Amino acid sequence: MLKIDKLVVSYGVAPVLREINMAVPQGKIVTLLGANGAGKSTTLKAVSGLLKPLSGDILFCKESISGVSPEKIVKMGVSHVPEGRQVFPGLTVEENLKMGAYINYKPKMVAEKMAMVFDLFPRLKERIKQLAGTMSGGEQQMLAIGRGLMNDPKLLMLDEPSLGLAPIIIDGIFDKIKEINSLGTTILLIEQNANLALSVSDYAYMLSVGKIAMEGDTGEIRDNKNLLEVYLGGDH
Amino acid sequence: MSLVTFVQLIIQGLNMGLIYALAALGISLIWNATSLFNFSQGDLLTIGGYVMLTAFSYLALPYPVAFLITVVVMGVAGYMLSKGYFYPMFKQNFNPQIILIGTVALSIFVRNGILLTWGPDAQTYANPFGSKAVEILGVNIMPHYIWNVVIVAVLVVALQMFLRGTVIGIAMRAVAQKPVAASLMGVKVEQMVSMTFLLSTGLAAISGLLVAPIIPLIPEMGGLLAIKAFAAVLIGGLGSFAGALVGGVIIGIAEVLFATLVVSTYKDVFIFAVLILFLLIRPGGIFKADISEKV
Repeated sequence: MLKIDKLVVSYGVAPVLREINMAVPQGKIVTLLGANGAGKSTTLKAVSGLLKPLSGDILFCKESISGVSPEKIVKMGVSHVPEGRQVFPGLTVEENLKMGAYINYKPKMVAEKMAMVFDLFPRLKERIKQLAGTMSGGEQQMLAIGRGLMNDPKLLMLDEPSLGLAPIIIDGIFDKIKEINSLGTTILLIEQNANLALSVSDYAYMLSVGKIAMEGDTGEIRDNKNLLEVYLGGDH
Repeated sequence: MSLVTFVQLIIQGLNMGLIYALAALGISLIWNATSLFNFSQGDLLTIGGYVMLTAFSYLALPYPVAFLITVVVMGVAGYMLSKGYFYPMFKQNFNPQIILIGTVALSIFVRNGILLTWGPDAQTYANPFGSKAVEILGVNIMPHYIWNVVIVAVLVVALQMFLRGTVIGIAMRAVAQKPVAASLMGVKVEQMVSMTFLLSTGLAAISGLLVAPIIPLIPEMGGLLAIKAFAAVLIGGLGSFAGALVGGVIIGIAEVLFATLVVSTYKDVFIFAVLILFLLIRPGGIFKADISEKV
């Protein structure tokens, strides 16, 4: 579904991604692992159109989306749930969800999608009129993911959904990520927490200083404890 | 002073205050969308008055038609200003001070443009609502005071309905809060910023056309009005919708009371003294705009 081919992205003169190749097959959960500053978020930003690649190509459903504007990419069915949730703090839960459907706003479809999001995250329904900025981190993450689902994406990209959340909340969120995937949405996941990410995904890439250092089925990667440690540091 | 006189003064102040409040709302809208001020806001207000003068007085169009034309013309001007000046500067990450100084230049340019187009003499147009006071419970009220309150009330309600009830309105607020996240939803940030300028300039034009029958039009009139609108924004709370309204009304009433009870020569000095006092005691303004109530 998504194919990244020799992608090069740089901030100014410093290259952040150096010819990376990746593929996200339809229906799967693919994880991109890597330490801080490895270029994980940069990869997602290039896919969603926030950053223009220097060279290389990004194909979504066999169509090149490299350098295309974010609104066109959203319209094609790519949702990017950014790092740190980035919910609109002064909008209500309902208004945040409506914004998720902005690109193709049809009241009837919005109501249907919202009902689906509320099925997935009943907590959001209880908070429907609450301002997003006044909710807990876990609830904001649910909202950010729900907002990402509102435009009925083919590909959902999640940037560190575990960031700053308590372990018990994280488990809940990751259960939901599996559930979303089982309902037919392909997922590209970024995580620093390797064990957690590998527990839900089918395939994983390891990014290290702008290059893919290792890739494989999650089983293989998980067995390769030494390499994981080298690339991520600490104990995994 | 009798109670009746007092009530009359309050009504007069409220009326002027609402005119400040409209301009102040425009300033707050732009502040939220771009974290910038537009120092030519006052001169856009002045042009609003002159466009109204042309449409209503020279072309003798009916008041509602002339009103509408003025708002549309000025709204479009604001939109172009954003597309042609603000957004390109904003996007290139120019130092905000440079952008601000540019608006000062624009203000001088506009002022002289008005001078060239409409001349230096004070001009005014007949008050469309008549100049015969009506008596309500023993208080004499000019009809345009009542009309101005009605017009501003309708505008404020309509603006709230737009910002809270429509997708574009919600998107404008979303862009003011998290522009990058909004662009990930497919919102075109540039379009929303330009829409904000359209609204803001439209509001300034309305305060200009409402004030012209009260204060005759001269090319530099917008300067002082805009400074008072800025004072209203700072007293009410930068970026707050309610703050702009309350700040404007406070200034309008304080000004009229001071001019009548103390000395009218120093009413502007008094207003700025009040502003300094607020900046010392409560720098965030009355409604410290936390993000939750940003317009």
